[in-house]
Formats: sequence, structure tokens, C-alpha cells
Amino acid sequence: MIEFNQNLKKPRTEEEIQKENQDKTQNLKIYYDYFFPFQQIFEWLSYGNLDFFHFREFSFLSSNIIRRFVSFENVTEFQRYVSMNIPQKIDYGAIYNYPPNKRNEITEFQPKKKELIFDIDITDYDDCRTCCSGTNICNKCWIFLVVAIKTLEYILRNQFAFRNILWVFSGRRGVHCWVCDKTVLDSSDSLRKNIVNFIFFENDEKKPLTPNQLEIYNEILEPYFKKVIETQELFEKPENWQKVLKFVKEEEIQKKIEKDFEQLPDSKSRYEYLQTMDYSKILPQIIFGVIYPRLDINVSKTMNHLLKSPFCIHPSTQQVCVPIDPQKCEDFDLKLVPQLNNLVDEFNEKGINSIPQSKFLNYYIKKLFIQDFLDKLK
Amino acid sequence: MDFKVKNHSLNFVSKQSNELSCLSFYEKIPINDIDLETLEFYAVDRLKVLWEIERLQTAKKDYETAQQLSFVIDRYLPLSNKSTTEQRDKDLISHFLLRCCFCHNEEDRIWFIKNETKLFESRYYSLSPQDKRKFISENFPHKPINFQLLDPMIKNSLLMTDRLESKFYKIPFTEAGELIGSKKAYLNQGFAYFSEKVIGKIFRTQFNQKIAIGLQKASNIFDKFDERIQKMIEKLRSKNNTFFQFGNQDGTHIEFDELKNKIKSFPLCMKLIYEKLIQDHHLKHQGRIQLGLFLKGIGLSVHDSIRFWKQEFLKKMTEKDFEKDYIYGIKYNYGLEGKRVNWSPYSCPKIIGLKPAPDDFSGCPFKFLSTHNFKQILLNLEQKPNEEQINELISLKEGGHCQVACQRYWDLVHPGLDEPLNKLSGIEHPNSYFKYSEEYYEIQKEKEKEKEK
Ligand code: SF4
Ligand SMILES: [Zn+2]
Repeated sequence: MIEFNQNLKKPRTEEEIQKENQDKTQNLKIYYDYFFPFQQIFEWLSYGNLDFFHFREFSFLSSNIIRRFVSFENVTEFQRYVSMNIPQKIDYGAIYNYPPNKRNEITEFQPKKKELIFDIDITDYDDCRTCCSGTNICNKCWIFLVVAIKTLEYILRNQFAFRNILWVFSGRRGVHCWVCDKTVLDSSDSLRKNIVNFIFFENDEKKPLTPNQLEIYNEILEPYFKKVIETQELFEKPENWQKVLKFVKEEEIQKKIEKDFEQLPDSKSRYEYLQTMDYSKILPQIIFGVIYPRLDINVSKTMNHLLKSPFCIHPSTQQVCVPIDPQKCEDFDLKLVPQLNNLVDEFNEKGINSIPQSKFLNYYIKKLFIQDFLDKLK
Repeated sequence: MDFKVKNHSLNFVSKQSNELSCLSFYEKIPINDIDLETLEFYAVDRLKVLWEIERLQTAKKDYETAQQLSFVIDRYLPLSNKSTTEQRDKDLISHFLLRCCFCHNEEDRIWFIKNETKLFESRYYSLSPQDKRKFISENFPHKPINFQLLDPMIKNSLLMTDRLESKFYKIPFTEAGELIGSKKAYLNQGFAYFSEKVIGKIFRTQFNQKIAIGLQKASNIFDKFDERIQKMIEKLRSKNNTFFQFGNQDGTHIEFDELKNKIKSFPLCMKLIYEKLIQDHHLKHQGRIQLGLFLKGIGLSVHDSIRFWKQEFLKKMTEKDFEKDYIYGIKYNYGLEGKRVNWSPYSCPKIIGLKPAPDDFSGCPFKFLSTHNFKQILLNLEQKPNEEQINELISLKEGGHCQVACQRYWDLVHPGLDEPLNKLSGIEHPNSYFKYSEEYYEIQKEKEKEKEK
């Protein structure tokens, strides 16, 4: 099990820390100058209309200071700013009715357009994870995020018919989703709220499943639940299955299942037992409770929320926030996510020639970002 | 100018409007000759309805709320397709007048939109099936889809939501508003499919948006009004503000001197705190808030409230200490200090959840009193309860059914009604206990008068 928690390292001296920060900044500068895809980000954010770029809010974190409402007239300005300030984090906000850096010039400064964004964080699954907790994450708990991606993909593509969706690894313990269809960009906060409420599942819902929920259940949740049980060993021992059975609403039934579980020999038979007629109504309660995407809905409901840029470097893990292929998200390996150090080391060794053959350029930028996403926007 | 004011009585123009559905999105301003007093009377009645809606939102049970709401609407703003032209005009005119009252700041606008939308919704759902169809055909431009031609998966999904005989519709999801948010539509490839029974949600969304836009233009309408109407609207605005200040909903005020006569209408919780105050000339914090907010709710002004507390507290402390330690708290309750929130009087569930300190009489007596003490109180009542009644009350209390017990207690101390005033199961709010009680004494008074005749 790989743990990405930085705090586990041995304490460092003042000098070492300073040195490390300097290194980090230097590495970051190289990254921004040679790796970060400014031009493609620009093409995305402008949607073929320069004003969209110009009126967009950028936000930067450097030396622990967040600067919001920065804006640029073109990509050169953006690039120059980043190269000079070497921010630890870049976030994008909404497209406003006026350039955000001049917002004081008008009285009614308002967001007008914004992608629909989702932020899913593995810590929200802590009550069901058996391998890690807190900010730690491993390939075993990644399965929760796989289900979340698959479910949202299904809802967004099949139910809402959205086509322009970008999935990004958040750099540490979650994933971000950007929905960029025109209908969404233009939608008011009230429509946004309705979309999000439609997607959000309330756990204490006593109502029967809606036809759309049933569809998701049959297509995604039920098939994936078996995998989750296996990977997380949820039906192996009592303290694990308690994490699951707590979603059974009637206390008596829950007690009974717990008892019967102890009598059964293995994980497989326990699952089959839940599939029997008696519990066919209970199973959806459990499955929705355990694996239905747990969204931070406030991020999605209003336009003025910020979200980290794809291809940023996560300040504490040094991992690149790379795009994720939703079709293949099961194969996404946390251990193989490009890291700032590795990219820069190779660059220092081989010079600029290291880039053309790199997976970073060919897979993450060319395939996932340009071919799968950007080209389809046009 | 849109309403012409006349000194003589009503004179209507738009007769043919009765052909149309009574419900509307308030897009046309009626043109009538009407006298000023009637205008004001219309507006005040609407204000009463909106305030009642606001109040009921804090109540818990949807069903009871709906019942009580339609009762109030029928009383002040009755409307159906059989309504007279006068009733229809009252509805339209009062709406436009209040738009002008509530268009001035964001807070007012939000309040108005919220409660008008509730009113609309409540009326929509109480339309008869024919009237509903009529309204739909007038306001919903889409034709029902041919169910048989649908994809089998969509068919099955729709049949989970309604019967085969119903009409089903298909519209782009972007137009379906709350039908999406409330999961009432079935979504497939960007289209929302739904049965006619949930169309109300779409109307609700539309209504909401239309009123919001209307409010933005309302100040123009206001400017065009004749001066007398403008004055009247200003008066209404300040009247609405006093509702706020007094914190009560029906606009009744209680003068300081009247208060003594009202104690008989206090629910048991308030009566006990009050008696404690009279006895000790002091009250602990929680009790002060509970009683203070209640008094605000029945219509005691800040000024009189200060007088009320002073009258008791000064028997034990100096005026200076009182001013130093207590004035702030009283004003705070009225939203005049601190956070400046106009705190609502505590509801029963809130009071029942309080944890009174020993010997502090805050909280709900049906919860905190010992059975012995409770029985003592019952035995000392003026309206002597019989054995059976006592046992019933005690068992309700012991079963933890405070609000139902309180309701029975109300029935007990308000005898002689042909039909209990309040048929609900359980008191929701000490202020409604008070209100029902006041209504009771009104009726008793009228009965007395009848007898004398
Ligand atoms: S039920 Fe409500 S009104 Fe009655 S005594 Fe308890 S708190 Fe007061
Ligand atoms: Zn893990």
C-alpha cells in the first residue's frame, strides 16, 4: 500500500526546508515553461470566442497568498504572468460580464457563464473504506472513485445528453469533472441547482427509486458493487460489513442480516444471500448508500466557485493533475501519475528532447486532453 | 395610470375575462375604476394571506399546513373559475399593489416571490380537474406525445410514474426547471418526459421567474401611479414593516395595559414562566427569551416589552442595573441589536427540546413537570376536570405526547364550544395556542351579546 501522506516523512531542518522550497520553485518554473499546455488551455477556455477568455476569472496561489479575480486579454499575458509568479496553484472561475480585473469599474459585476463542475473526494467515503482513511488513498480505494466516474458519466451522457466532459485527477485524493456543453455554460444558477438536485441522492429518501435511479442501479451500481466488495473486502469480517449494513434502514432487519452473515462461510455467499427475494428491496438501499457518488454539491450549484486547473501540480504531493480517461478509469494507477520531480529530472538529463516521446505529452496532453476533449469542443 | 380612482363605488370593465382560467401569471394589469379604500382593503387582505403563508412554513406537517392555508386563502382571497369578477379583480389588483410595495430591496423581493409562489402553488393544486386542464391548455404550449410510439424503455419508465391513460409530455430538460430538481421527470438523452400530474412544477418555476422579472419593473409602475395611490402604498409598506417589528403575523398589536387580560390565553408553558416572574421578580436567561419572544409574537412592541420587564425587575434592582444588563437582550429579541435578526418566537418542538435548569420554568411543562405537580395544577383549574380527563392528560403527558396533551388541555380550559375551534392534532406553536384562545374569547363575547338581545 502506497501512502502519499507527506507528513509521514522524518522531520526536516529549517535549512533543508528552505532548500527544498527553492528546488520546488525552480522545478515548477521549468514545468510551466516547458510542460504546461498554455495554448490548449487557452483554446478550451475561450470556446472560440476571445471575450470568453478575457472575461474569465483566474485565481492564483503563490507564497500562501490567493489572488482572485485576475484576468488576461490573451494567452501570452497568461503565460507571462504564470512564468513570472510561478504560482503553486491555478484555479478557474466563471466568465463574467466584464473583465474581472476591472470589476470595480462597473456596478453590477456578475458571473454569466460557467462549466458545470463536480468535485469528488475520497475522504467522503471514509465511513466505508477499509484500507485507508483521511487524506491517504491507495489503488484499493480508487474503486469508489471509479464507480463515481462511471455513474456520473452515465447520468451526464445518457440522461442529460452532455457530450463535452473532462475528468481530471485532483492531484491527491479525488477527481474533478468539468462539463462544458453549451447548454450548461449558459445555464442559470437555478437550472444548475435543478441539475445538481436531480443527480444528488439523499440517503434518507424513503421514496421508491425513480426510473432514472433504477436505470443507474441496473447499469452501473449493481454490477460494480461486487467489485467494490471484493476490493475492499467488505464482506470478509464483521467490522467491515457493519460499514455496509448500517445503510439498512430498519434496525431489526439489519440485526438479522448481521446475525445471518456470521453463519455464512464467505463473501460470495453473503452477497448471494442479500440477493434473495427477502432482501431484494434492501440491496438497493445498501448499494446506493455505499457507492452512489458522494458529491460536494455546493461546488456545483453556483457559478462563482473555483476549480483547480487541469495540469496543475498538487502543492503537497507534487503530482500532476492529469486528465483521466473515463472509459479506462479502472486502470488508472495512482503510482504511475506523473510527478513534478520525475518530469524535471528527465528534462534536466536529456534536455528538451525528453518531451516529444514522453507519455506526459503523448498520452495526457495529446490523447486525453486534445483528441478526446478539445477537438470535440469545436 | 392603470387603476383609476373614483369616489363612487366599483365600476368594472373586463367582463369577458371570466371565460379564462382564474389562475394567472399576473401579466396583465387590470383596468378598473375603483375607490381608494377598496384598493387598500384588497392589499391588506393579500398581505394577511402572505403572512399566514410565511408563518405556516415553520409548521411541520405538510398536510395540516395545506389545510390551514386553503382555509386562509378562501377567507381573504377566494378564487376559482366560478369566482365573480370582483373576486378575480381583487386578486389581480392586490397582487399588483403589493408588487409596488415589495419591489424596493432584495430582501423584500425574495420574501414576496417566495410567498406569492406558495400561494400560486396552493391554488393550482386545489383546482378541480377540469379547471386544471383548462389552465394547462392555456399556459402550456406543448402537445402530449403519442405514448405508443415511444421507445419501450421510456414507456416502462413512464409507467412507473403514472397510469397508461394519463397524458405524457416531452420537453428539453432545460425548460423543465423544478421537474428535474425534484426528480419528477424521467430524463432520457436530454429530454424530460413526465405525466400531466406533475406539470404544476413547471408552472411553479415559470411563475417564480415571471414574478421576479415583474418586480424589477414594478418601480416604474409605481412612478406612474396617481399620488393618492402612491401614498397608500407607502402606508402599506410601513404597515408591513411594523408586522416585522412586532414579529406577529396578523398585524394585531397588544397594548401594555391589555396584557393583564390576556394572561388567560397564555399556554401553560408561558403561564408558568409568567407566574415565576411575578413571584421572584426575576427570570433566568432561557425563560426570558422564551417568554420575551412569545410576547413579541402576540404583538407587544419593543417599547411595551421593556416596560413589561421593568415593571417586575425593578422591584428587585435599580433602573441603572436593569438598563445595563437587560435592555440589550430585549432589543436583541426584536432584531434591534446584535445580529439584527428578527427572531421568531419559539415553536413547541423547539421549546420541548429545551433543557430547563432546575427551578427555572422555561421549557414545556408537559415535559418537565413531575406527574404529581402536573396533577396539582389540573386540580386547581377553574374548569374542574373530571377523573377521566385527568387520567387522559396524565397518560398523554407520560407518553411524551406534549403537544397533544397541550391540545387537550386547551379543550379543557376553553369549554362550551359546539365544535372545538382547532381540530388539529396537537398544538404546534405557543403563539397559535394563544391565537385560538383569543378567537375563543371573541366568540364567547359574541354569544353573550346574542343572549342579551
Ligand atoms: S405544547 Fe407548546 S404551547 Fe403547549 S405548553 Fe408545551 S411548548 Fe407550550
Ligand atoms: Zn486505500
